Amino acid sequence: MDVQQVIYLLSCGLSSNNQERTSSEKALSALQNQPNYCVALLQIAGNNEVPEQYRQIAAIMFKRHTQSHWIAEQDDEARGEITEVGESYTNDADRTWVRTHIVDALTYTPSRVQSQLGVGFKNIARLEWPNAWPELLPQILNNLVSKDALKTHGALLAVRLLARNYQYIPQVKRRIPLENLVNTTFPIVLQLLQSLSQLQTEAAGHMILLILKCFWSSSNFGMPTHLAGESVMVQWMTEMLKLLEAPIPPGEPADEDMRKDFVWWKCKRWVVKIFDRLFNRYGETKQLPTKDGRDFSRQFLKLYAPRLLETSMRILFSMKNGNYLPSRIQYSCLSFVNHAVRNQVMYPMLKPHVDALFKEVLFPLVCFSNADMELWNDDPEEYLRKEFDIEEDFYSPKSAASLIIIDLGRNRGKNHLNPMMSFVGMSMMRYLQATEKERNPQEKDGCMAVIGELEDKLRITPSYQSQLENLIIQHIYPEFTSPHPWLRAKACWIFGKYYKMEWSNSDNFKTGLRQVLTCIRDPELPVRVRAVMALQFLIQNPVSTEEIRNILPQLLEEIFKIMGEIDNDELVVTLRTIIDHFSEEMGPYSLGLCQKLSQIFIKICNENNDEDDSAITALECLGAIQTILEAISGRPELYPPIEEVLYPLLQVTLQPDLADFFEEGVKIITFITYFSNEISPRMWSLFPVLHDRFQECSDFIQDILNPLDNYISRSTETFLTAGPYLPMVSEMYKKLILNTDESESNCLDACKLIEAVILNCRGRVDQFIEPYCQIALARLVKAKKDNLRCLLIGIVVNSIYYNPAFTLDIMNRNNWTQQFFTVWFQHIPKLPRTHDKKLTILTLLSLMTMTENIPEVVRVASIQMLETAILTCHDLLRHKQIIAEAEEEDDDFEDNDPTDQELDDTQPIQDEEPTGVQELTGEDDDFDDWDDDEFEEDEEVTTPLDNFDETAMLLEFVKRVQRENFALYDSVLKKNGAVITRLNELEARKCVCEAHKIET
Amino acid sequence: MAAPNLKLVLVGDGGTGKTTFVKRHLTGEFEKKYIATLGVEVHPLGFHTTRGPITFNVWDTAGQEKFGGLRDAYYIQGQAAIIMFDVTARMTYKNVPNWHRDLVRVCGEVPIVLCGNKVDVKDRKVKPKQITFHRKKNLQYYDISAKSNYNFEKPFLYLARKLTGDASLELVAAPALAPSEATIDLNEQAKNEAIIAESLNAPLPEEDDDL
Repeated sequence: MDVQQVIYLLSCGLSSNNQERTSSEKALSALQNQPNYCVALLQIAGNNEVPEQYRQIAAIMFKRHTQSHWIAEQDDEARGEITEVGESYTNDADRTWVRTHIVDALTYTPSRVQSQLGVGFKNIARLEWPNAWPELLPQILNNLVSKDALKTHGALLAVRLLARNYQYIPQVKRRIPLENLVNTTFPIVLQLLQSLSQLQTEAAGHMILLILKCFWSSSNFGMPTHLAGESVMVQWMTEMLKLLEAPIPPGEPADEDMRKDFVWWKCKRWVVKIFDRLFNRYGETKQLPTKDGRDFSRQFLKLYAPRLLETSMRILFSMKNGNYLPSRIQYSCLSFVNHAVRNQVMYPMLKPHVDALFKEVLFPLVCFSNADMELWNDDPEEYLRKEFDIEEDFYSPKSAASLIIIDLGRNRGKNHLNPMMSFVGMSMMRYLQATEKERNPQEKDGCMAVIGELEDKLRITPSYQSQLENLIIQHIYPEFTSPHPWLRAKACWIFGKYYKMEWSNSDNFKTGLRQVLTCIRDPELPVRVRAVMALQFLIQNPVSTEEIRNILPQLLEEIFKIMGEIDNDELVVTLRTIIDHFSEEMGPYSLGLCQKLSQIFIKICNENNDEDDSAITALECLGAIQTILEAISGRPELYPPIEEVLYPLLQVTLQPDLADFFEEGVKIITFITYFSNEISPRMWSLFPVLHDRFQECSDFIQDILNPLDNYISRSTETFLTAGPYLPMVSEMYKKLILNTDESESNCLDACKLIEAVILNCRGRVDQFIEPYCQIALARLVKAKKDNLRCLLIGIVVNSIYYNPAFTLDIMNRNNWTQQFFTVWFQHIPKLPRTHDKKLTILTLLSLMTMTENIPEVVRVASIQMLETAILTCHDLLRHKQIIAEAEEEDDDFEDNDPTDQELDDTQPIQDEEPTGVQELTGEDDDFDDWDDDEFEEDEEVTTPLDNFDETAMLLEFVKRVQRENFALYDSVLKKNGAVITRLNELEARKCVCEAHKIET
Repeated sequence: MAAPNLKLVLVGDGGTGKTTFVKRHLTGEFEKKYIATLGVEVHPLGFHTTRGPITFNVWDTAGQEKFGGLRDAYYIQGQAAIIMFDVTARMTYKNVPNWHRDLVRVCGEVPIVLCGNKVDVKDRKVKPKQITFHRKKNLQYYDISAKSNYNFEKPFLYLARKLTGDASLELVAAPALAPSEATIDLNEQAKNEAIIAESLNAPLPEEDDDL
């Protein structure tokens, strides 16, 4: 390849002449597939003689080449794909050349070229290092120890880029190359860090930052053995602590905005980030799954954590004098301290300082800040958005401080609850006694935040229980009418938080509730929103039911007004809670509610689709509609107008290529098709739409099975005669069952779908029986799991039940009979659902009661059939009994209030979700099979079989056999006398129960 | 002396109105019908200033990944840049840091203007208060409306001042623009401008670095 020619083409690629540029782009993309192309690009990028802009475009093209055409040797599939489209992958000679020269190129290029080559280097290393690139490490090492600062920097950059490829890989086996990298290079990297930290130049700062990032990337998902060694880690920790404690070198920008990005602040930020993560991963020794992990954890807690805690605390305390501290550093330090609160080894060291920490650091952070106030005044909507933004939890010092307060109260309350509460109590007393002018409302907000956050602890602590009612009346109630709107909002929030509290006088509660209801019409939006959200909880207090019922229509009206002003899913959740609570009274409001919810939903969908918050609100709207439909399920006459209102919304949810709302939309269709008196033509018009969506994605079968079942079973005549619905359903079944790549659960659903057809359309689908059976049997041979086999067999059993003579005739013609009956009888004991057992009994009965053309198989197997029917029936009754008992147990179950589970000073706090490394170290391709073979609980479905009492019919039949066919009766009875007696008993008891039910 | 020719790179998500924006300037030569930009189209836009004529060669790049062409290679030798987002689609603002990162990786520290387009649309999603990125990275910010010509010349004026080093540079003649197709509520917009101006002095939210 002619390098000059490539340079020429690259230079044309920079031309502002559209034609010139386009033709160069075409030529370049043709060259991509030529040998030597990436070599030429790297040569150009690395050549100091070439003007920088050409080197830059060469580096960019090189980076892109590594993304698109550099394909690993073992990746046959990708190689095949690229050849198929007439292109070619980078050849071996080129790859060897590039591997040999890229480190040098990376080292000596100007930063703009270097950053592009770096991405290319990382791409290549991911595929080739270490196996195809053994000489890389020695090369890096060589540069690392060089006296040439450029070489050292280039080598550090290479280490960092290599480590980044392993940053998110937890598996020990896959981390071996990283271990080698760390073993070889980190001793020198540490020496570099030690000597660089003597310097105060910005260049040194940047190099240190790079070293910290190397440490971060290589220890993110596991501690390399080299670093875990005590003698090594001690030195790293010492260096990092030094960096954190050192004063910021001169040169800090005066501009506040630039200040936190000053390289030395950045270094500190990375250090605290590393410390916080170490504590997070290695703080709880017992939770670590490996011995190495536990060893390192002990080392960390013993040798480093105390010192790190001390430093973190000192940094936090330094803020109280107004010293500058970037908020990300605040956050990481607070997070570190929070680990210490929860940790049994560290807590005793923290304990003596907690009271001061609370007063001087935590409390000031949770108070309403000037920035909060500014945002509230300038943009209340944005204020609300931020309040509910979960990202804040990860970055804001305020939420980190709240978390510590909660942990202190909940788990270390014995030592800290009283001091915190007395501080807050005194502050509130001062506030109460001061004149409005002297008051500090921002501090009052902080007090209320603390009391609110500690709700679950205070409510169950005897010494506070008795005071809470007074405290709330004295200090919270006045704030409902505070001149500061944010205190009104806080009052609503806190009153909602205390919804479980027991009131000595329910009038006191009512006073507060009425204040909240008044705040729903507050002039300030955030107050209104907080008031509505408080109702979500307050409604659960029985006292509020009457109060709210009296104003229900106005309340709903107000909530909708607020929902019109701001998208917030919590508002819809509240609405849903109210609907649920007053479900019996929803009739008159149901239509209006559906109308409004549907308007909001459609408005959100029309606005734009890319906002997560809005999508959640939209989903909540669909959920609320379901709650309404469920509430009025006993009143089918209300359904038709609602259906009309919801129809446009349903069309939106079923739109092609929009999966977000499909599931919830289909649930609404399920409600309407199930609870309406009849399925309207309008609803039928959605049937083909469901079918279309299924064509797009077969997994949708799990969502649409229920409504399809409703169409088939509740409107069978229309299903059979008014359109091509039956062929659609049959085709779905065929598509799913015959494709062995389909998931088992999809196939199960397909079987259930066709079962609905066969059961409901008895005598109407003759011509489909043969293909249905054929498809089921074809798959049966390949199916491995019992669950699926049982349901496939069920298709044939259903067909026999549909018309025994007709189906047996088909089976005989196809030579299926003998084999099928064998397989069928083997699977009867494994049937998962009560429905299948019942069907089996009824089918066996129908076979045994055939009068004409009795097939051979029935005659031969009559004894076995009768016996199986009896045993299955017994099994079924037992199964039903188990379910009934389980339901009774559910009713008895009462949930207990969380008890006071405070910890000793020396106890660790058990996380519900452990956050240590243990969850990261599992081999990710080693997950358990998700399919469970457990017995499947029947969903509540109604089928035409419900009208038959299989036990009574079977016993009737047994009697008939006794009369008419003594030989058969004798041979079955001999073995199964006890079972039949038991059946008779069960049946008798059932009759008594039912009679009893009718009487009462 | 010939008018200085300056390379200006225009980037941002697809559909934020980059092409519409350049096409407002009637001295440019361009196709009339709308199509998603393929790769890049270069439009020379001329301005008459107190320091004589200046031409910005505006490299209008494809916002959509699939039409990208050489993508970041087009930024090379860019002397100035405009990053555009759509104030009615929050996602386009969320992607601004990516555009900025790619630009700086190639161009280094060149003057960059961040533009929030479509402020004529009533239902604004990205509020002035939320627009903070320019403060973190020291960029200039303007609310614009390509449809109504609102603030059209502002980014160019700012960049011309930066590039000439003459803070008092002014345009001597308004550029010829296509007639406005939308109206703007000027009172409302004045409020927004006040907030933007004020926010220049507000403290910054922290950024995420490299993670």
